[in-house]
Amino acid sequence: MLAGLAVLLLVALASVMVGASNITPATVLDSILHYDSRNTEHLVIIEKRLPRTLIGIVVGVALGLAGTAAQGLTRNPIADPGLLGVSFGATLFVVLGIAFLGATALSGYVWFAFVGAALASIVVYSVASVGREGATPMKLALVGSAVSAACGSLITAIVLTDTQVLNSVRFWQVGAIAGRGYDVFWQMLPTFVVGTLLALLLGRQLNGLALGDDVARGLGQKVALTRLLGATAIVLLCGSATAAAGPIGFIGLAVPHIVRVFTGPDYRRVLALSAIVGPVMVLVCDIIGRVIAPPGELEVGIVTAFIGAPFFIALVRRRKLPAL
Amino acid sequence: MRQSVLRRSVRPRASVLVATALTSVLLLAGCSATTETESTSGEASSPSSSTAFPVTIEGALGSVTIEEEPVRVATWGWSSQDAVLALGVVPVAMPENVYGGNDDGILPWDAETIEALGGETPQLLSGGDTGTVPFEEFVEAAPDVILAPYSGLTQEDYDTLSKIAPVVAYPEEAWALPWQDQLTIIGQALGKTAEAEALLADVDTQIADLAAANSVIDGKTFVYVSALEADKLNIFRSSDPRVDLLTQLGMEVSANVADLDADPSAGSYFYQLSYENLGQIDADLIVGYFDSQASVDTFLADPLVAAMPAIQEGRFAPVVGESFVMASSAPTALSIPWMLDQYVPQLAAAAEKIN
Repeated sequence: MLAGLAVLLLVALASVMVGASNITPATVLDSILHYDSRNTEHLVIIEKRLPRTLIGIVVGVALGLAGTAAQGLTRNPIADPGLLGVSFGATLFVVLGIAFLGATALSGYVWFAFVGAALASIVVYSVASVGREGATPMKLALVGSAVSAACGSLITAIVLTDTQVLNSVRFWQVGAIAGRGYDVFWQMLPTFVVGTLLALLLGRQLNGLALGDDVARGLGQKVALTRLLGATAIVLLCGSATAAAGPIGFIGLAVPHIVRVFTGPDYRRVLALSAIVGPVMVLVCDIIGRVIAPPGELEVGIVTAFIGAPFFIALVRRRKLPAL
Repeated sequence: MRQSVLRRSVRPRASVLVATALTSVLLLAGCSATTETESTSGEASSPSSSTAFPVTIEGALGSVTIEEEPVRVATWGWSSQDAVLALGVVPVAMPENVYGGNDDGILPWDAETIEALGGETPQLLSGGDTGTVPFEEFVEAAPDVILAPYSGLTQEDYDTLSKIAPVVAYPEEAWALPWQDQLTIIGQALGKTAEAEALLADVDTQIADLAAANSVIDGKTFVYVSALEADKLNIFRSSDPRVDLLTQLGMEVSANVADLDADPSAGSYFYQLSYENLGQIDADLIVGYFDSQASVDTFLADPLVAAMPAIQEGRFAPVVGESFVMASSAPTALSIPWMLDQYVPQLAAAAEKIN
């Protein structure tokens, strides 16, 4: 755990030090202690790299926790935070905002993404709750896929017929933490904090759920309440992450599995370490994206895909995965 | 027993009916297609030299021979329709220009010329924005020649289109052809080489006159940019027509542009620079295209952009507005006169701020 925090700190430092231009560590220190807004290198550090690092950390924590909660809630090892239709819902509303309400700047997209994430997950959860058993994992996963598919086809319909929208949204859709200023960070912070607290406090309940609904009820847990709170946490976390950075795939799926290798199946520990491994992964991928294609950059959404996938495959093949 | 006999005799009769219906539909469709191609003609074409044909034009994707003067002309890619219209021919099919076009999807200067020539509105081809060639629409248009010298046709597209009509594609690289060469090639293909030369000389004179009237821009260095993605700047290489037009006005591409180019041998017409490296740009003028004033404002609001010396001193001449952008990004014999009158004074005003 402490080792994890140390790694996170190192990676965060690297994120501020490394970039498409070469800035010496001394200048970095200088920019924090004696900020001179006329010095372009200081500007790069304070206005670009620092917010980028902060947003990267917050997005990483959000996705890591949301992924763990999603897998715990549905007892499904391939569940990811987009389970409740959050990513697609957010994208759909950003597309609608650009197409019909003329949203232009990145910070404008944030509110549309929030609304879309919330609405999509409300729809998913309500439809999945229909019936006697309430929102069972199976129903959640199925309805989530259906809603995501529906949003996806609506997105494609709008984007294919209106090239201006395609031009604006295609860059957002890749998933990137670059180009976001402090305003985006503050916009996502409230929901992020609430979601994080909620997720972290659900550790014990998730342990119970992992034993099966009946056993959990037998142990005195309120299964329906846990599910509702867990779903809320996922929506808040994944919603804020998608609103800030666009849909970034893979982190929510891989982080819990990586963490379980070190912590075993106890959800309280898995959640805690996911909150550290998540941002490490996001920042590492972002740093790689900055240096791999000079003098330009690659978005973090692209790097997580092509680095994460082989890494995850190797992990799965090498070790026997601890049970959920 | 009798019922089953009846049923058996009804079934073959039904399928015969269906077969007859299908055949007659196909025959009718075939007949109507041929009558359509015979009835529509309607372009005003000026007399041309009969010794111009047959003409063989070499290209990167293959060489093509045009046997006789084409009557029905289709264009693909950017700005070829401008050259065709400038030579007095109204194409039967041209790409739909959603970006910068009027409500019908036709660029303003094209619409004016079509009206002046008294021709029919051409069939608008879809897929121009995505590069997906609409083969069926080309078949419907039934052209005598397809002109696509400034486009991104793949070898496959070229081969398939060649089955519909002779295709004139780019001479060397996709999306890299100065507008003058485009006019010359199209003039050759239409058998109007003399008219094309005269037109070239005319536009060149117009450009030279404008350059002389605004001599403050002469010899100034510039870098041509666009900002579409967060924190990334697209810088256009010298081979791009936008850049070419400005050099024809007497400006020079900043040597910086080649220096910052990480992969000069790459085939594309632009490369990307991270905002972190904006301080390395060194040019007298920064020129760029933006589809609206809001985009310009967003660009200038970025702290790193605002910190650039060129921006602070006002040495910035953006091309704003879709039609304007289209006119300067795909300059042609028609669009250049249309936009230069407004743009060159703007360039001059920015150049005045160079000390």
